[in-house]
Amino acid sequence: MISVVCSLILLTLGGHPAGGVRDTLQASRITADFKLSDTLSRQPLAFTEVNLRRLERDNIRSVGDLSAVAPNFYQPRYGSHITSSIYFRGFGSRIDQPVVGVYVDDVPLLDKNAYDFDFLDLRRVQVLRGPQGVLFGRNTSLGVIRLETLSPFDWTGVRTAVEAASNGSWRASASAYRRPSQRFAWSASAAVAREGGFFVNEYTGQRCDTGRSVSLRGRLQWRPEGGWHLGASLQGGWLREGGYAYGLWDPSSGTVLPVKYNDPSGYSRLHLLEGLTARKAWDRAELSAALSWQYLDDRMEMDNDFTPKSYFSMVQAQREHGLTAEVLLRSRPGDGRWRWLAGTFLFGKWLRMSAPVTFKPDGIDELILANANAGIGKAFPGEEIRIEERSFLINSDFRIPAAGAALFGEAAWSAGRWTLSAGLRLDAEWTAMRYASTADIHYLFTMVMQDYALLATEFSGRQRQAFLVPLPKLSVSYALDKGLLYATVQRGHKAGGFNTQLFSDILQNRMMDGMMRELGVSMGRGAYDSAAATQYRPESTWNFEVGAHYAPTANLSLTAALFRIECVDQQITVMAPGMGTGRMMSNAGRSRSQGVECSAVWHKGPWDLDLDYGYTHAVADGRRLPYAPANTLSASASRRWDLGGTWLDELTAGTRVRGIGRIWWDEENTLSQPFYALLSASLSVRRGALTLTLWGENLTDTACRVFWFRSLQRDFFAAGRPMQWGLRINYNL
Amino acid sequence: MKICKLLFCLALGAMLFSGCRKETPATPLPDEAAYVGRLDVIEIGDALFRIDDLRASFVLDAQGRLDISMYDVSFSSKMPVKLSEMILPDVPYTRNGNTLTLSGTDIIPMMVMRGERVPYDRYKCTDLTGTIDPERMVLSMKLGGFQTDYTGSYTAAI
Repeated sequence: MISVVCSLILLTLGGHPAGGVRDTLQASRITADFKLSDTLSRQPLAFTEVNLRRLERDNIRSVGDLSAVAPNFYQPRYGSHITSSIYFRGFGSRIDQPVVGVYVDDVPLLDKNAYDFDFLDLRRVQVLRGPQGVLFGRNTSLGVIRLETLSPFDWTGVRTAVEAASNGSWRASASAYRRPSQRFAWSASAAVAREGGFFVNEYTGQRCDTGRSVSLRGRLQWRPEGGWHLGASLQGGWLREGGYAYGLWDPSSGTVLPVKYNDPSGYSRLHLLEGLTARKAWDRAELSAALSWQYLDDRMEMDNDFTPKSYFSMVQAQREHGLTAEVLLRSRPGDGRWRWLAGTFLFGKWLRMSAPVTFKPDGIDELILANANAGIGKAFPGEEIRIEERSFLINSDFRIPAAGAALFGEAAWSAGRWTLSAGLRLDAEWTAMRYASTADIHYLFTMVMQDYALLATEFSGRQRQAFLVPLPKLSVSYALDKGLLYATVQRGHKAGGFNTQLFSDILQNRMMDGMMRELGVSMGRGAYDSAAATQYRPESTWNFEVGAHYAPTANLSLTAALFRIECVDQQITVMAPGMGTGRMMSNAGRSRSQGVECSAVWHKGPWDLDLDYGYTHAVADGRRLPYAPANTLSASASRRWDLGGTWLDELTAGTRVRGIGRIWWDEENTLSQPFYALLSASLSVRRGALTLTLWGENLTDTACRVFWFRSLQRDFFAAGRPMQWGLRINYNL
Repeated sequence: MKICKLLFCLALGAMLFSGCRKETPATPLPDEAAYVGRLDVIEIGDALFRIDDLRASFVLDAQGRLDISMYDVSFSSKMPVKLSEMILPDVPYTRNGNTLTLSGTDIIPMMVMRGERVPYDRYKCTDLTGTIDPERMVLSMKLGGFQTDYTGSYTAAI
């Protein structure tokens, strides 16, 4: 692979692009957008836009690094790359369906497991806050993150970077952007990285959160005769890592104990995304189309009790194919009062998942036999149930196909400074789950049995769900001389689904019930409605928002928004009602969130200042919703000095503060993380094409907790990353 | 004369009335039947433990032996398990037409475990009395020393 990259670099350096365009990347205006008819500052929505300069200056390398940069957006870093728990304006999800959609070059990522990846040469990132259901459909009930990669039509050259960090992490990347003709351009990018990790698993004595990754991307763009813009891209990423640095809370000392678990835990993933886009503009209308094929193959294994004891461990391996197709027709900007848009979206995905759970000696003794013999021992003193195996497997296999179709349209009418727009999307979705869970154990009841007998337990079947959801939107805006006032009402939708993580718990219950039934007794527990528990319903939100965009000068832009969100059938993660060893998504009643967001961006001469703040008050039944922070704050400043070019051309110094909190962890609001702030800084020097950057994250080594969960009546916390510093060398031709 | 006529009419009417009344034959007692009703147990401290809608049944075999069963039953609020089937085997009784009158003591209940009858000495039955007819089952006994009463109404054949 390294030889391929070097070859590409040599080929690039050896040739000269015909009419090559060298773009500053910093100040170019984006003119053509797949869905939005105008620049974001003229849209009736709250947004955050981050360009390449700020992405590199502020070390924004993944979706999670946008936390607080986009007000009220928070993705804590814990677990592994499979954990994309995104919280936005008070709502979010830990498992299954996300509240935010992620698009890469106008193609939606269908699986949340693929959300967390390292950015590679992104031109810009847009975060659209609030429901975006009309244009972006399912699972965008709280927003959309749009990632736009660097196009060889916008910039040509070679970009290379190598980096090393204090914890042993390193990264190397190389990209080539070529435009051999006015009509054809291509790019190729590659990156390799090693994560050195931060947290030691005291059981092994090694860091548990190390990892390796490789990313590749190739892009072809062609503009043949007739005004067509065609594009094809293939990007892929592979990673293998540890993770799950969870420490047990010790109530006696009031501290979180060091990470210490005995079973292997980690995550590996291969993700491929193939996209084809086409655009054609006529005088009055523009056609856009995007097709994609997506492939995800990942495997997670985890010590489920996160202690040195051997309770149980799990593996989740899945393989998923996805297809999307979208066609959109819209009017071109003109002098007329009307603007319109209409489109259709289709998707299908096929998921095969295997999720075996292995019960180990301590789990058998303390979770199964202790519960069973507590009742048996009272009813039949001196007698007990025994299990022959010291470990056994609960197999669970799933086939989950899903497909959907949507029609959507939007129309806007302008009169003077006023614009009224309305949109509607009809989303139809069908999904099914074929499941099969089995477990075999040998048991003996001392009162009536001499030998162990086989107990074979099975739970298999099929579930289906279908949804037809209208997603309306209404907005009114008033154009100021240098800005916009707007008010918006729109509905968001998060799809329903199936509780695959629940099946080991269901099978444990069935196993116990089956054993007791054979023995002629029952434990007297409430009925565990297995079939109904495997499904959860869609979540629906209504977002009411007023906001403003204002740019009093060419250097300053301000945005502000007030919002209120009403949520029905909120999807919340709860512990399984049976043995309590599984998690499930359940639908709660009503919840609501309201808050404020504001941003200020100032660029003048050598100065860049960015300020973003968000406040959310999100409650259900009078209690704060867990995991979503009440406040997010991001403030960054940088200054550039032109040094005249004797030794150095340019010196840039930057600093950034990111604040999060208070975060309530549990539904009873008894545990919380107070507000905390992390300080970062960077110092860059440039000579010609070479730039050297020294950077530091969490320079005050502030301790914080970024995640909490409860398992087997124990509390666990994930700590935030400690101080880290690094050195990066960029060489761009 | 008028009095004689009146008496004659009354006698004639009584004869006619008695002739019109239908004779309902007695429902025969089957060899097995199920009942559903209420179980009351007096626990320690005179606390009442009750199960409503408890299903019970009886079976008379070919040799005339009487087994009484209770299903999904427990006998105390502190009993952590329910017995899927508990049998009072070979209960002494006398038969009068369609009614069985029960009387017995020192009966060891049987639990059905893995398809076999297993004695449950802990709840030995003493001072059992009661009746079984086609419409009702009434039992009074001591199980494990605790006063236990059951009244059930016929529900269906097993």
